[in-house]
Amino acid sequence: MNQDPYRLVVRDPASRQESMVTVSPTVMRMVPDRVRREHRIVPVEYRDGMITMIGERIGDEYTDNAVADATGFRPRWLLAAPEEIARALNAVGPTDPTDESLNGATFDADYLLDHGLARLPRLGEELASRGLITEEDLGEALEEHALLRVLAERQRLPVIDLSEFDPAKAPVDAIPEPLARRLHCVPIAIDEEYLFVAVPDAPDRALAEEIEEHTNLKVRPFLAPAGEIDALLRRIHGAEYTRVALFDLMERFPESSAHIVLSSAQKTALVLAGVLLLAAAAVFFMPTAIAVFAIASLAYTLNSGYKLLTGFAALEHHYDQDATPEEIAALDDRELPIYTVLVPLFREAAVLHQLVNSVESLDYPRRKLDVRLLCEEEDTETIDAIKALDLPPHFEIIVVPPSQPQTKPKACNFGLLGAKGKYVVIYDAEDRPEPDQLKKAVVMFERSDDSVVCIQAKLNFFNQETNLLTRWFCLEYATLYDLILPGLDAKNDPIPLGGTSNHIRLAPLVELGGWDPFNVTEDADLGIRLHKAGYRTIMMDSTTLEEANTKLPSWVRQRSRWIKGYMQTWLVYMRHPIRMMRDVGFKGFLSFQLMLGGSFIFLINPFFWALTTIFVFTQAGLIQDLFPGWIYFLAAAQLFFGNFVFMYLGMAAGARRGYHGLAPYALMLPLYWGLMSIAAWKGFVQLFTNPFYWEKTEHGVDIAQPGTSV
Amino acid sequence: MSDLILDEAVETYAPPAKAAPPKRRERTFARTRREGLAITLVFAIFYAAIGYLTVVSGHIVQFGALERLADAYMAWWNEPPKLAAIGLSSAPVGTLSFLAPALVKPLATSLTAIPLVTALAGGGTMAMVNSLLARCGFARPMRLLMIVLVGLNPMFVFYAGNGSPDMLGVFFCTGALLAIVSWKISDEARYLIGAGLAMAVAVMIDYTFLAWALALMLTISFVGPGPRGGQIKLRANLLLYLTPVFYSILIWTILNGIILKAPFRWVEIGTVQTATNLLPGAGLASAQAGQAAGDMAQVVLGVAPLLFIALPVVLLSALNRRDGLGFGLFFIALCGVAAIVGGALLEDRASFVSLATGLPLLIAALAAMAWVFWAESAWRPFVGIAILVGLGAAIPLSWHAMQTYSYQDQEQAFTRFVESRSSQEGTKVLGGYKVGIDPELAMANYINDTLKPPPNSILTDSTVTYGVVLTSGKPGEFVDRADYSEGEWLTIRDNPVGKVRYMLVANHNENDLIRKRYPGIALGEQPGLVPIFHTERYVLVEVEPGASAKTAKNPARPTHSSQPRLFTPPAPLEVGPVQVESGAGSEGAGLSPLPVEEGGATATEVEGAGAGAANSAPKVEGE
Repeated sequence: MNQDPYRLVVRDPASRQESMVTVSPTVMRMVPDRVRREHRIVPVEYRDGMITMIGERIGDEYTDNAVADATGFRPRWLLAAPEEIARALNAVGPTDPTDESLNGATFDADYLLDHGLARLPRLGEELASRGLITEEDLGEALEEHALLRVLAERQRLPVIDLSEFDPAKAPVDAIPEPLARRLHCVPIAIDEEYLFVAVPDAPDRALAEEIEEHTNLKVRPFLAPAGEIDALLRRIHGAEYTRVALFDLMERFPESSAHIVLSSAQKTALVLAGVLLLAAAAVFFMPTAIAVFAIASLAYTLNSGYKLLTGFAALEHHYDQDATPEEIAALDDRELPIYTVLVPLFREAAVLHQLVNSVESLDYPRRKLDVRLLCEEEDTETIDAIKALDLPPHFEIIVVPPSQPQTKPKACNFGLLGAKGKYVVIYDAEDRPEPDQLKKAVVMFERSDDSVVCIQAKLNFFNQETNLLTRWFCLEYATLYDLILPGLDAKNDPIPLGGTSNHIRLAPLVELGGWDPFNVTEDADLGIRLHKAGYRTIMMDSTTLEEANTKLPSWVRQRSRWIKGYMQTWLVYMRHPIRMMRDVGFKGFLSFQLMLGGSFIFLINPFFWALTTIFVFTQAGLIQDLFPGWIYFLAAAQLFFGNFVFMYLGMAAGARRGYHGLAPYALMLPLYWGLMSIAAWKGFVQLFTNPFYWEKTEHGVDIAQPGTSV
Repeated sequence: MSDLILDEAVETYAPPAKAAPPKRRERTFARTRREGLAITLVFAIFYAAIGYLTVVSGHIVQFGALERLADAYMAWWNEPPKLAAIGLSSAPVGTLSFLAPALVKPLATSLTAIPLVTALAGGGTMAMVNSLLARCGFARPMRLLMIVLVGLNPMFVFYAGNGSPDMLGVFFCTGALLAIVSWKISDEARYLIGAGLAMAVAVMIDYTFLAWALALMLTISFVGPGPRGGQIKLRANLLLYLTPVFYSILIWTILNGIILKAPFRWVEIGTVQTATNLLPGAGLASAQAGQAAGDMAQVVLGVAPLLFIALPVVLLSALNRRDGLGFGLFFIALCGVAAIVGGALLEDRASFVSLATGLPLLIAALAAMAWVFWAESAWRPFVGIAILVGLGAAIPLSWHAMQTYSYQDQEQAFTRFVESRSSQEGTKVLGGYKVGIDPELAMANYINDTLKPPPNSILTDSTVTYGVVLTSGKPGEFVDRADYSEGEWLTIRDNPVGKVRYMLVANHNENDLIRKRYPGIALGEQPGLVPIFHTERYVLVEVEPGASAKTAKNPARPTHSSQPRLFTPPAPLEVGPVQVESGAGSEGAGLSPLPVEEGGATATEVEGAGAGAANSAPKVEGE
């Protein structure tokens, strides 16, 4: 270090007089070398609580703040030519790390930083990586703002509070929103030379260069909490985000959007079919009726047969995939990707604690979690409850602006904007996923090829023993997630996803337009859309426990939405059936018809049951005449064998999961199907009267139930 | 040193090597699917070929199979098709199994369909035996040898090719045994499902398998819930197994209740043989406990001699290891035996203890020994040898039993056919059967070629005359008991004038409802009912004015109220040299000019018998 003072000519901007000043090394050390060089300033004097600085210009608030942060004093400025300042910096400040005069000196962290001999990584990361603290300790010990202050001090960067920042003042046009979102920064001020940008961490050169290249301005970073940056971006671009969340899929892939229930061609076809049917019935009543029953019987048989074959085949095998404990243990937390967890909430204040517990129970490093609590703006109760919990920084509240339709997929799309994760998963508020589910998904994604875009975990219920309805529900889910869906996976047929616990690669999801906000079973729709795009969904042997509806009216509402959604999805992809067949193949097309189109069968169940009952008691010849020959065989087979085998499949699925206590209740499953028909009609009517209405399921009714061991 | 890192000393970190994808879960059992498929095909083709020759060349037709094929045929091809043709007179699966081949008319009417289903069942049984042996640890050469020994057992060969539902029962019982052994080894619930479904079907093939079903239920209880379960799991296991069994019985009971207005009629019907080719008075001997037990021992010795070794061995092993499955298999075999003997006593019919009842016991014995092989590693050499000896000895013993055992269904004819390669048409065999299908064929040919009746013009009791209905290929010409409700059919029978033109009656079968109502009809003793054609077993009667149940004659006072106009076919069918059973009766093979009533009454020769030349020679398929 050059201990000799250095003299240079300066000009006082107030008096406009020039003078010669001496730069003292001692005074130089009041401001770190890094700050000096970055701002190209030189301290010359400290007196009476004011530090005199030499700089290239005055009125630079950014530099003022940097000096104030470094020294604790507001600066007084003198001006000098840039080359003079540069010579002063080089002449007086230490620049050569091999300078022998450094030998034997005591180097502290500041010194190393100042001399560019060290870099300061993310503090938390370093503390954890060195085993000085655990991730959990970090999360608890250092709240985000405190961590930010530490970073600011280390990085010599100013900190800014964005919570009260007026979005109208932000120079939004300076950086396009997609760029800002990708770089995770928000412009907060601008002048002729600089763009002042809020960032969550010390910006690397690449970020700065990218912005500078785009804006032709130099970047002046300000540190701000990541959540506040995201929130500000949403406040600034809220309208655009909402528009994207609602209309992106519709604009880019209109043929896959459920924003209309029936296309013009479908309406025409339906009207035509209806007219022809009525005309035929008027002229040839019996043959027409027989034909109708024949088609219905055939549909029944194909639907039942397909599901039975799929289910029983899965009974014989384990088609779902798993990650071994060794594979999971081999994961290094430092290398894990960020995982976005979307939790759409609406009037869920009662289950927030459970939600937090469930997320906190996940075996995944906190700093790699991006948990987004998606709340509707009107749901102030839930928002306030979340705020009151004072959640750790990996939780983020995202307030979704009001817009119609107000649906879960719209909220998820909104939450997807700005998601940081490589993978994304949706959980409902009451969900209790297995702790290692995320890591299992990571393992399975990593060992799969890029065509595997989605991994569906199994769903079941923690309150299965509450009443008969929950037991039936549990058996139904066991049949679906343990048998039917794995069976579809094994045959590489389209899989209608479950409502939660579908783990998806973020990039392809965004590429495909996210979820359909107009579809009330956006999960089923996404599963079909993924398959149509050539992607694959595989099943994971990991279970998320949910809360089953315990009350019949609530169950009917929920089920009606699901069936309505299945019908919606079927109608969407049947707008162009030839194209659909071409995209998914004949086998996949048939599977699609039987799985989703099969939801219409719930509508005709009551008619067949009624006919059977009437025939048993009256032996009416008319009914007999309606089922001649092979139609009778099919219908009889369905009656005697189809119903039994579905009931038995439910029992088998329950046994497979180890839910032995549910076996007797499976015998009564035919009654459950009766309830489904009621729900189906409700959903069918609503499909035309209120297609986008989201029947909200009440959660938290049964949260006192302990988790069921699987 | 603070918590910083130096650029020059950045810690390098190497991520772990990409994990190899895990294998699919370990299978509990090695796959034998291809092997099983090959075994199924080989044996099925073999059995089908033997069966085809037996039926078409040997004219050895098991009438139980014929009846079921006919019912299945009428279910499809009646006008209109009627599921009710399947009927409720016997367990339904035998008929249902013929539904598929009956779709193809020529297959059914030529009787080629008869061996097809049971051949497949026989082949499938062999495949399942292979799987069972594989899971119990037998090496491939050993188990293939065992399979060959079982598969070439002459009883097995005969029943795999004769269409009788007995082989279907063996198939499903084998499946159940395979499932229960697999369940014991793996503790996987899906095998209980397999066992339940298999027994549910088996019970609907032969009601005596209910004893097996109960024995299997007890076996599951003996085995218990396993190391990872308690009473709830045991209950669930039992439910898993019993549900399909119970359901099949429930549905059958409901159908009996709805259609016959007697829900438990099926219990009464049991497995009474009503074969049309059963000679009068045959199969009616009463059963005595000691005699039935002795007969059963004969059957076991003849068909399943391995059982005599298996029972003590598996019991010893079970006691040695306190093994629930061992006890269970012992119990299953015992129940199988007891069910037959008990059935004979309940039915009071000695012929209930037929040779065919030994077939499932053969499989039960093999399963028991296979389990001991798995369970007792020290005993393996002995067990292996015992199995081979038992199965090997069963071949000549079965052959001998088929030739000599009293209660059988044409096994003796089969042995004769194998030895002589000659048609057995018209021969008689132990068990009281008259072998052959020519009477049915002749009547069918007459109806088709000469009579050419309009639809719904021939009243008949198809539960007896099924052979004619089937071989005619035109069930629409007949007014059978499936076409109308019971009451309507009886009304037509009682007042046939204007409703039907003809009646087809079985000469010697007391179960024929037309014959019951009109005694002596075959001899023209009923006013207005004129016999116009007859074969050995059937007579075709023309309905003329005056025919009515009201004016039916009492058989105690026979009168010849009208001259029967009988057309006698030309020369009877050519049959090869056959050994007619001594004391079998004076009736020869072929067609007699007139039917012979019981009691020896004969009708006079018919004038204008030469008019019979108008009849075409009876066609025999395959000759």
